Amino acid sequence: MKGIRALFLAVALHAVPASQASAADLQFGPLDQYVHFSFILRIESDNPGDPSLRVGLPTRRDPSTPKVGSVQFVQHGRTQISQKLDAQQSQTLYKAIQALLADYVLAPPPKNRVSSSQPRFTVFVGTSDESANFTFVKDQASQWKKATDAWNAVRALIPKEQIENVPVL
Amino acid sequence: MRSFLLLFLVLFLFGLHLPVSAQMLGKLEDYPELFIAIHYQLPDGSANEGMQLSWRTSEHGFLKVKGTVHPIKQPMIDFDMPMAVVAPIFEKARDLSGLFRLQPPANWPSKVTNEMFNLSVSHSGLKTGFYLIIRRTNPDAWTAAAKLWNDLRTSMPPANRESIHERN
Repeated sequence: MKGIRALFLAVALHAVPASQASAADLQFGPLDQYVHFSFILRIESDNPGDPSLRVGLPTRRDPSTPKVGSVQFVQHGRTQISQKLDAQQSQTLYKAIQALLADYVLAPPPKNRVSSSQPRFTVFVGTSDESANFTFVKDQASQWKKATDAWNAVRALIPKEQIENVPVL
Repeated sequence: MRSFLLLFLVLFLFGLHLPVSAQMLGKLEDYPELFIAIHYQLPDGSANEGMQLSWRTSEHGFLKVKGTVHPIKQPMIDFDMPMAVVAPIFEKARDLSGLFRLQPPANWPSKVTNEMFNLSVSHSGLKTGFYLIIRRTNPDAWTAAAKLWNDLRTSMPPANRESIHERN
C-alpha cells in the first residue's frame, strides 16, 4: 500500500513543476504604502506627436508627495488635458494597471512578419525604486485586448467635454 | 487511502491548471529570434557597461548567435557566439523576469543610489518586449541579475570578457 501511495504522490507532484511555482506576478502592494506610483500608457507609431495618458496616483508613505491623483493627456509634446482624480477613481486606475500587467508573458512573434511601423502600445510603470516598460502589438490579440481595456479605462475619466480629443484604442 | 486519492487529485488538477509560463518569458522554442541585453549602472550614475546576446533560428536550428560587449566609456564590440550559450542564458533571464516586483519599499527613506541593472528582452524586428530596472532594494531579483550578468560574461570570448567587470 505504501508503494502505491508513494507512486500516486510522485505522479501528482510531477504535475507541479518547480519552475511554475510562482506566477509572473509583480506583487503590487496597497497603494498607500508606496512612496510614488505612476504609469504612462502610450500609443506609439513612427509619427511624431504620439498620444499618451500619464497617471500619477496618490500615495501616503512620504508626506511630501501629492495626496490627490491626476491624469494628463499629452500629445505633440504638450499637456492637452489635465484632470484630478478622486480616491475612488485612483483605485479604479490602480486596478486597471494591475489587470494590464497581470501574468504578462512576452508573446512569441507572429507567424507572418509584422510591419515595424504598425502601432504599438507601451506601458511604463514606476515606483520610487523599481520601474518597467512593456510593449504590446495588435497581432498579440489577448494582450492587445488588455491594453485597450486599460487605455479606455483611463480615457473614461477624462471630462465629457474633452473626451473626444482623446483617441479610443 | 481515500484521503491519499483526494490529495493526488487536488495536486494533479492544480498542476494542470497552472499557467504554462511562470515568468515574463515562455519556453525557449517560442522565440525563434530574441534579443537580451543587460546593462549595469555604477552607484554614482556616472557610466554603465553592458552585454547583449541575440539569436536567429530557422526550421533547421540556429542560424546566428551574436554577442556584444559594451565596456565602460568604450564603443560596443560585436562577435559571433557558440549556440550552446543560448539556452542557459535564456533560462537566467527568464528566472530574473519572474523575480521582478513592483512592491512598496520595505524601508523609507531608503538608501537608493543610481546603481541598477537594466534588463531588456525584445523581438528583434518588432519593437516588442519588456524592459526592467532592478535595484538592490529587491535582493532576489538583484541576485538573479548578477547571476545572469556573470554567466553571460563568462560565456563571452576571453578577449572580450576582460573588458567587462564581474558584479555582485
